[in-house]
Order: sequence, then C-alpha cells, then structure tokens
Amino acid sequence: MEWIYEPWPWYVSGVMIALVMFLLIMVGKNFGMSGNLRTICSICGAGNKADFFKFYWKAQRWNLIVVLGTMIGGFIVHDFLMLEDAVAINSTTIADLHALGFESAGKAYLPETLFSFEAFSTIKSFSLLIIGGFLVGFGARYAGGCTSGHAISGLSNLQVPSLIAVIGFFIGGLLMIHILFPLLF
Amino acid sequence: MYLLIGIVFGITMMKSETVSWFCIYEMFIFESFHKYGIIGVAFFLGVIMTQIIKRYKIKSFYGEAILFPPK
Repeated sequence: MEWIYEPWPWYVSGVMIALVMFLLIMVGKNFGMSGNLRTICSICGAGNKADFFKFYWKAQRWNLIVVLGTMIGGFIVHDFLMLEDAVAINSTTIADLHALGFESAGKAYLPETLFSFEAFSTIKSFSLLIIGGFLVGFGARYAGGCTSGHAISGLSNLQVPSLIAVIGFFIGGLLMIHILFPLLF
Repeated sequence: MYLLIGIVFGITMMKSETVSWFCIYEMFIFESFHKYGIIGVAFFLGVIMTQIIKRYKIKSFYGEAILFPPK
C-alpha cells in the first residue's frame, strides 16, 4: 500500500485531468475554474455596478460545487494520501531557490516565504499577494478563462483564441520568472 | 455528482503536484518535463474526445446535445 502515498507521474495526471473534463462535458457542462470568480462577484452584488456581472449566476452554482469538491479533494490528499509535504523537484532548482532565499525549497509543498500566515507580516510579501491576487482575478476574466478553461477546454476544441491565451500565459510566466523574479528576490 | 467530480479533480491536482508553486517555478526554468507531460496528455486526449463527441453527436448522460461554447 506504499504506492498510495506516492505522487502521480505525469501520464497518470494528464489522463485524470482529461477524465475530469470528460465527466463535466458528459453531464452537459464544461471545464473551467476561473468562471467561478465572476459568479462569486455577481453573488456579492457586483451586478449593480457593472453589466458584466449581470447574469444568471444561479445557473453556475454547479461550478462552485466543483470548486468545493476540489478543496475537499486537496484536504483528502494532504491528510490521508501523502506522507511528506516535499514535492519532487530537480536538485538544481532547489539549489537555485535556496540561493534566492527560498529555504523551504525541497522541503515543502509551497514556499513559506510567500504562502503562510507570517507572509502577512511583511509589507513585501503582503503586497505581492494582494497584487498577485488582483492580477489573477482581472487577467483570468479579461482573457475569458484560465489554464483549465483555455489550455485544456479551449485547446481541446481547437480554438485559436485559446491558443493565443495559452501562449500569453506562457510568455507571462517566463517574463515573471526570468526578469521580474530576480528583481524581486 | 459535481462534488465528486471536484474531489477527483482536487486529488489529481494535489497528487500530480501541479498546484505546487515549486513545480510551476521549475516548469518555467525548463528544468522539468513533468508539467509539459501532464498538459500534453490532457490536451491530446481532450482533442480526441472533443472531436469524437462532435463527429458522432454524442449526447450527454441526460440525453441533451453537447455544445462547446466558443471561447
């Protein structure tokens, strides 16, 4: 039963993501996570301020339930299906990150420098989280989708806008890691 | 039903380590094939699945026509 605690290789994970999309399509829905951000804004009453949020959000309740399930799934894995938090990353990457001051690299699931309650105590990490959250929320809606909606659902349907979006995500990620990141840390 | 699909997705995300900040960082400095493999497999199967559903006009579990809203 040792295998149950091991992380999954890429080919298993890829098949599982496709399976999730297949199930959602077969129940008459589609796969996309960031649409929920719009739904939540509408629930909070943003429809009074902007037409973009004036839509029948109750028809999107199913997707909020998917997100709730995703969180439960995360807890299940963390509490019952894994023994150690460390993720399997390359030793070169670990060394690089240590040099940048990310001491939790190779020991944890997420860097404590950015994702922990202590992160709220320094202005730098606090503002990075706020700015990051704003950009993710704004960008995912402005583009009409995030990684799940564009890279998986959109590309599977051979949609050119999704391809452009995915190339954009990728360029953004590269710029962040190679140019902004060395400036920030 | 949706809760179950979500749980499967959550378990997948955690088990594949896709949601780990470290893995995303590693992907962008091109020191790991892991994430490219995941997205490649999901994309490959996704295209096949979408094309089959469209070509044979497969109905959903509830008997409704399946629509792919354009992005």
